[in-house]
Amino acid sequence: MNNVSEISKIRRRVFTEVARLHWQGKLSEEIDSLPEKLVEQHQQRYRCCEYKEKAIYAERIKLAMGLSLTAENHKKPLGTLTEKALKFANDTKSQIEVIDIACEQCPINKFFVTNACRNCLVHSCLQSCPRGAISIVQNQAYIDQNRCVECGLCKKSCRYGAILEIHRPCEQACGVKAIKSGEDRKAVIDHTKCVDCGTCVISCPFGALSDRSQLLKVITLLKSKSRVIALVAPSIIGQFGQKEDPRSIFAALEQLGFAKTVEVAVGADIIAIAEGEEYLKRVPGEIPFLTSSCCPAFVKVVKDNFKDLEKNISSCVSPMAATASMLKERDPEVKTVFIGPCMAKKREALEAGCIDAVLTYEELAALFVAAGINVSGIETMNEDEVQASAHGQGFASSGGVTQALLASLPEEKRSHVKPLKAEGLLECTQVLGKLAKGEITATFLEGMGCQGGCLGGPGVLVDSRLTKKFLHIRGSKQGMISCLENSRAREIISRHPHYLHRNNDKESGDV
Amino acid sequence: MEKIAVEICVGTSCHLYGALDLAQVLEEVNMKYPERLEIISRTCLGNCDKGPNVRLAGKLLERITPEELRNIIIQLVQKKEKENE
Repeated sequence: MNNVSEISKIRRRVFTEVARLHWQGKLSEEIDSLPEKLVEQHQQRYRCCEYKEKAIYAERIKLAMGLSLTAENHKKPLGTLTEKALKFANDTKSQIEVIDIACEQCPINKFFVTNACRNCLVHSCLQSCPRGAISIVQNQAYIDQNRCVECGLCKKSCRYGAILEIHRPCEQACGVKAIKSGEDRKAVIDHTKCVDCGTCVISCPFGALSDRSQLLKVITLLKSKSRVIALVAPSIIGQFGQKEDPRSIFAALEQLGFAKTVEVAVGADIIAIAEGEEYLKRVPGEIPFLTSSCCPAFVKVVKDNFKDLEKNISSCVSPMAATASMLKERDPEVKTVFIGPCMAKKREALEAGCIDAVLTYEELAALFVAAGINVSGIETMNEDEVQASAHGQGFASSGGVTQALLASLPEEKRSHVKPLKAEGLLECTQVLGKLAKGEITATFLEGMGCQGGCLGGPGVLVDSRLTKKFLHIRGSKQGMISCLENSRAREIISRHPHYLHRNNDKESGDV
Repeated sequence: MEKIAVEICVGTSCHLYGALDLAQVLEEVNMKYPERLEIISRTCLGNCDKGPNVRLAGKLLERITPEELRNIIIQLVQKKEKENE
């Protein structure tokens, strides 16, 4: 059910070793020998030769250090780049990059005749092709790729199933069509379209796409004198194998040097209430439907592709931003590190400003290993202290935001809500398109960039089918079910803090 | 019949490199051949750099993949069965 692929293992090994070097203060001295060490350690060969393998590792290491794979960083030895990496200057907001030399230039021709073709008498492929692109060459059907319009009729017509439809996995995975094939057939990301969801990262069978990591920044923060707080997303339950019990993870975070762990589900409680209030105020009088705003990939899809629907996005910030702002309001000196399943949050954090760094669960686990911390070996006596309601925690799972919002509304209003949910950016784009054209109606749209919601994010350690169960068990065990039962959340809402709403929506929302 | 001891490491390092996939294989084999295995979870087998690790009847299997583990265990179970016939 889980299946940690070879690609995941390579990524995780690189994260672990880079983190280990910085944790031990040996980054600049030993980084140059890391590609060699990784190749030696991992006897299995994937590429044509050891040199290519090392070169690919070097590129992965740059991304793990948070660097962009720009031409400027390209040919430089890793050792000369560590100083730059430790300045944490974000040259670009884009998080996902193509590792050029790792891309194996998958075929771009979509339809392909296999040897199963028997050169039959019917020639239904030839008959079916509206462009006359098919001819018979050497006893087999042949597709002239210059004429082919990729309609797929030939494939449908062949009674032997001899015509194959091939996709480039990265292009197929991308819900916003941001990946195309470049001049040399290598993948190229159009960063004006990419929303950094990370689906391509986990889809490429060659591991040729990756996000930039902030591991070095987090380690530097933890080693500094600053008070660093870990903000953990609700999907953390079950990620480290401890079923529904997160106590040992929290204890491990403390061992790592975090002053405190705060559950972002607290922010989710606050946002569910605020979003409920906004719903009552704006739907249906001002807008026909409201959309959720917690998923940064979904929000960016709406802003980039459905300008007319931008006003429908809830003006509320994400639970991550709400939680971080709440902490910074109390103590402006505090440093905040968000830990979640998400790559798009890295970009959101840069734009929001209240988050100092973002790690995925994958990166956090690598950091634990680098620091010699074993979550399984930790026994804690503390109670599982409940910070948020079951509904707040439910934000991690598809359908959870809708459930929390409904619960925050007065009972008599709930039946008026016509909810709709979309998960995965392909579905989000389709649903938004239909809503824009009026082909379907709803009064609340929950948009999630990943299948299954955050539990299905690209940075998770455990399959969402398992973690969903654990999330549910922990939620049902605790005292608070509805976000309205969270008195701390209600107290914050009653003060109407400015930070709960996005600035750029002030004029339209004003709630 | 004496059970075969299978110690599986569930420490963070092995977890990161796929210990959960191995646990699933053990569960499958356990269903297919009930009462043959004694599955024990360990928090660390002291071989973190070469995980994921499983100790099968006293022998340490490092960097083991789910497919390899399935084959080795099934072979061992079948061998034991023959010996007992």
